[in-house]
Amino acid sequence: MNAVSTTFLVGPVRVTLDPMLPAFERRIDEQLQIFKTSWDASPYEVRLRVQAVPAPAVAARGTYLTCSRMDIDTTPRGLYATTLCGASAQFETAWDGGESWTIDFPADQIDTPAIDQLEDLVGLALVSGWRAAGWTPVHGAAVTRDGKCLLLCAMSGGGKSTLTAALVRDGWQTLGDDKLLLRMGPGGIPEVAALLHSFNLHPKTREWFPEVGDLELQPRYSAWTPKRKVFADDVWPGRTAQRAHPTHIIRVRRDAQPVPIRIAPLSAEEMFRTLIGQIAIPKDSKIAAAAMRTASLTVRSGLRGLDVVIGEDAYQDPATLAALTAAL
Amino acid sequence: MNLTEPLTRDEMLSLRPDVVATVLDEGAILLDLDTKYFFALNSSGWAIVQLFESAASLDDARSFATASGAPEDESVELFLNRLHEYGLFEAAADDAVAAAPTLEIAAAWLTPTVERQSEPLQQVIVSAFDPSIPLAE
Repeated sequence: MNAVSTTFLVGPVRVTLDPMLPAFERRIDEQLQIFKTSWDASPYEVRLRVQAVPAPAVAARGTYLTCSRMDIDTTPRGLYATTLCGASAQFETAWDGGESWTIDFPADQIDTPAIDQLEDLVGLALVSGWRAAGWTPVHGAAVTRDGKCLLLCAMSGGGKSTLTAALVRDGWQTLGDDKLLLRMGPGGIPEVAALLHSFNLHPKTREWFPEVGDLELQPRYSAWTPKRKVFADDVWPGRTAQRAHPTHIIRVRRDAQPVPIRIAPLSAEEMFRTLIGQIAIPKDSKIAAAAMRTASLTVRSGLRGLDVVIGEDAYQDPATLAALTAAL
Repeated sequence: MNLTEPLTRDEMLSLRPDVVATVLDEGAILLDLDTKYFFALNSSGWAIVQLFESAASLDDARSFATASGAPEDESVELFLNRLHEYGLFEAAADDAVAAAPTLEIAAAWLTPTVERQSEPLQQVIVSAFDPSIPLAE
């Protein structure tokens, strides 16, 4: 076991790992070392103690949130989560500027693929820390140029990453294609911030953007998807940004047919539903109300909304981005 | 509460605590955290619903609507019974304080409306960060 604590800066959160087994530290290092964006504010601390235990945890029921590999309950002690393999995370305590969690992982699961489920539990602690630091986590992409900032919204596999890459190679700067933080800044102006500057790109992307190289040669970053992780600076140096004020909400959808891009305006209600649909909302009235308020205030700050439907192989046609740019 | 029975006129009701609201345009959006359905209210609908953030009866809402310029018709009853059918109310606590009758709305009175979103948010999502539908591994 390592004898000293390890720290990672993950946006507005500093994660401190108490000494733990190398297998745990390696897995968490893989998860957190990709968060390379720089934040200047004093970080909120999330302290994690991860330990091997002889038996699986008592399963949570999902009264707070149900995820594909993890159930989360609200308990008198705070949030309690368990994963499919019997690992658990327990919120321990909070203090001014930080909080701590204990993660118990069944010893007989450490050297199995179930070690990936550590990511879900650490991710829960991160989300808790980001919220405590005053930000709303948004599963979306963002690009900025010439005072404009587009929030690109779609479900996983919906085309956020490819559109982000297309815009970046067209001269836009990216704040990320997957993980963003959003808050209402001074003067009631919404502010979006980057957490990591990477793309999750499908190997097929090379057909449209040859500079990404043969992505098949790179390891998958998740068993859930054939996509590979590509860092923006490795392919398009200097095309990253840290903060921006959103001006547009773009609902991105795919059309499996090879049809031209279709663009239509979104109403305020459609913009709200698009944005709130990118936020994981637990059964917690306080957190849900805060997320709803952030989404509502963002929409009411004067953003424009566009519904963008992109056909198969649309990026081979220069008219696709030209049409989108003209509609902004 | 029996959701198939219409509301009685003097039954004191409150919005369920796990129904959260936010203002949008002239109206508001409600989210039922149990079913994960969104509901869009117009301005008059939102004005009425605010009465039930504490406690109110159908009669209270009718009086408020009339004082706000509503015509003498069944629109308030229909509106509240629609919310009731959606399960957004619960019986008010015995010590609940009735809503202040002085609430005013800025816009002209409209027939109150509620529109439920066709699809709820996902009940099972990828992770605490990603609200997408999980894909098969």
